[in-house]
Amino acid sequence: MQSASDAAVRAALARYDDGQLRAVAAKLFKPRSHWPAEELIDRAVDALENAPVIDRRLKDLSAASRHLLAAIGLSRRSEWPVGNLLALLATFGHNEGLGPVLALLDAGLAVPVLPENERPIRRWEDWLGTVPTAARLFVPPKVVERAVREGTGLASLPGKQFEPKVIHSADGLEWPIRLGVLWQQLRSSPIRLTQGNTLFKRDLTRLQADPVLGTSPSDIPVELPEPGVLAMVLGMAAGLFLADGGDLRAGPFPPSWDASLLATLTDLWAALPAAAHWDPVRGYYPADDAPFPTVALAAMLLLAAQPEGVWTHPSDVAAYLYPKHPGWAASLAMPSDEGEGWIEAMFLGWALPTRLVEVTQDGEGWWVRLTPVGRHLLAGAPPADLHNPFPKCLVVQPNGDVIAYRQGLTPGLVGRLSRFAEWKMIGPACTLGLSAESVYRGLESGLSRPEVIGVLQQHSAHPVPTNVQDLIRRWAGKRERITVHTAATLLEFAVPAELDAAVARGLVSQKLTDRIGLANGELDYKNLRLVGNRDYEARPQQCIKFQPDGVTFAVNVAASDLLLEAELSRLAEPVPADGPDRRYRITPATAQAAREQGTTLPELEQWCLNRSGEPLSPSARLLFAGSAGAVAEVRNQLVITLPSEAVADGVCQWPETGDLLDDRLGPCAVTVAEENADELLARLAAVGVEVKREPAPSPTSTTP
Amino acid sequence: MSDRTSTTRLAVKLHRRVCLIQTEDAVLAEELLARKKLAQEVAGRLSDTILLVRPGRVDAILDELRRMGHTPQVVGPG
Repeated sequence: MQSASDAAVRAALARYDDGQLRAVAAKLFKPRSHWPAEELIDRAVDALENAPVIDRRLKDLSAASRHLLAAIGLSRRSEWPVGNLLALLATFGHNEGLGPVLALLDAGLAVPVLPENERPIRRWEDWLGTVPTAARLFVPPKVVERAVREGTGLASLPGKQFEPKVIHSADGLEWPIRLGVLWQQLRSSPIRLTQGNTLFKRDLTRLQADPVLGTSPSDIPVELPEPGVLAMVLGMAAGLFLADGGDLRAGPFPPSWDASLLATLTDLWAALPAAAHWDPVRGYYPADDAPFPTVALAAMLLLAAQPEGVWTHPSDVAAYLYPKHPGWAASLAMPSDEGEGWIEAMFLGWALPTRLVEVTQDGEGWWVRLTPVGRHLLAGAPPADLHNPFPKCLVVQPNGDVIAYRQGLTPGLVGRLSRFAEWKMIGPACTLGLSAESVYRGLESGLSRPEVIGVLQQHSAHPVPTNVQDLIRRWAGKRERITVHTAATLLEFAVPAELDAAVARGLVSQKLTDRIGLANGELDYKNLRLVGNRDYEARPQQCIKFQPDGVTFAVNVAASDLLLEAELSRLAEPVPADGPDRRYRITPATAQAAREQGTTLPELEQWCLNRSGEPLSPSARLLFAGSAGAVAEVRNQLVITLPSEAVADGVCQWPETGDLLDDRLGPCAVTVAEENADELLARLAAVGVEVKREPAPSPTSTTP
Repeated sequence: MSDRTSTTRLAVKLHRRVCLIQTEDAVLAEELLARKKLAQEVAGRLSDTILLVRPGRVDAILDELRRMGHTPQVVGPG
């Protein structure tokens, strides 16, 4: 099976121009023949899994490229923006610009990350584009695995070896817990992000003011700025929070959380290069070139270059990095201390709670060194034993509060608790609350009621109070009162007996009406003959045909849907039909009922257009809207029928006669008011139009 | 005869991606329909306990149910 790394390499190489592909292949594995492009790609992928080949190519590289690859390897992140790689190179003392990066691409040890549908890569400038620092490259895991043995070439700093009385260290759970807190908040209310993945003011304030996330960890010796933003940034970089159409939403907890604390801390360390928009001194810092990822990584690599057990002063780290890093000095809030305060804040505020470093203090200030976890991740030390000796760390109280003692927590338990209990307070002993809402959300996340109670029982030092178990059962039972099927598949049969047969065959899991059932999972079409197929997310289907009277219509049963049934019940009444199609009629009574239920004329017009493909008929409009308030009138008028249409046209047009007319009723007929009749006839006679006047009707005669 | 019946393909009309509210009892369905905002989103009633929701209105329905204090079980993709 193809790995994600293989897929990334293949995708990139397939976009190379033929000449570029052959040039890279020639350096990577030296082809002995003119192989087709597909074979070159296959062999390149194989070469990037072959340790001896990789080692030979690494030897061909300059020290700058090798140190860069080692740093990428130690970061445990395979994909990097070029801008950050240039910053790292400069920090390591290599000022050759893009050269060491392009050398990796030339050697085939790294590939560009290319947007979809981009033109073929003839030269690297095609990929770098107009903003080279934003271009991204990918380094296969096997390459970095071999490259880290080379080391980063960073210098030893003037450290100090001593036995301090007090060493500050952390349990590594601070960020998993805070991520759990933010995870459950995002689940109920996502954060809105701008196009540049920065925060809107409202959500920034929300993170700053949150009583749990907005407070600095209590067990670190500095005040951490904007800890809520850092939790968000780390969660995004670690893939726990996902940007989805402008919203930041909670994703599933990564498998590492259930694996071990060390695996979780490894993930959090690997998140550093992507942790944008936070700064150890400024807090929220929405700049594209925020220095935290590269300076923190370089500082940690510097600590890894020091002998084990030796304490390093943050000022020495700052003194090494400050003159070298290209963008850091310009971003410092207090440039006068040349980065010392920044480095100290970073070690104490981020690296200490991440369990990467431990710190101590003497008359010269703070001193820092890597923990066993840090040495494992950065200096190749064996994995640290972070075994949890106190699995029963919960106390469930009768009021539904859960006390969680940190020494027994694991990231896996933090993740499970976050799904069904609300974090109220975090500290050495954390407090969570069980509520109908929190348990409901846990059940909606896929946990079952026994699983919720099981987690509490498994990790509680004392039995879970009976009333709390009863509450959870009651809350779970309440959830079962209403089920919303968001995209159900229903099967409608002609007669109830066929539905019963479908139930017997296991095609229907539940009968909803006497003819309609809920499909049981994937449909087995071998048992079914489709007479109709409707998708309710698609546009309504045309399935009615109006008759000439404009109010009676026939329903095409095969094309109709359940929504139509509901619509018809409000708009029309059934009439007897002589064929297979059902017939309905809009009547004054049904039209009035529809109006009273809130149906408007535009809605009816749209419905008619959707369902019949024709505009609303005049007769249906008449029944529904009448004359829309306009008043009709009844009056006596004389009708003059002229001898021809041409004469009628002339009479209407000539002002002497036209002004005396009321309406033209037809080609030859016009109306005139009784009081104007004599004058009109006189004027017509004057131009030679003789009008024969019928005698006026006699008064009603009475029978003698 | 029964063997033949069990292998006959059943004529069926398929309704896909339908949004439904299913309640525990008819009284609860009535209670929901008495809520004006929720009733606006209901296209019709298939049975005493099954309400048919207008297409594309599932989020509005869920919001309103939760606003009413219900904790509906959501069944469906995603």
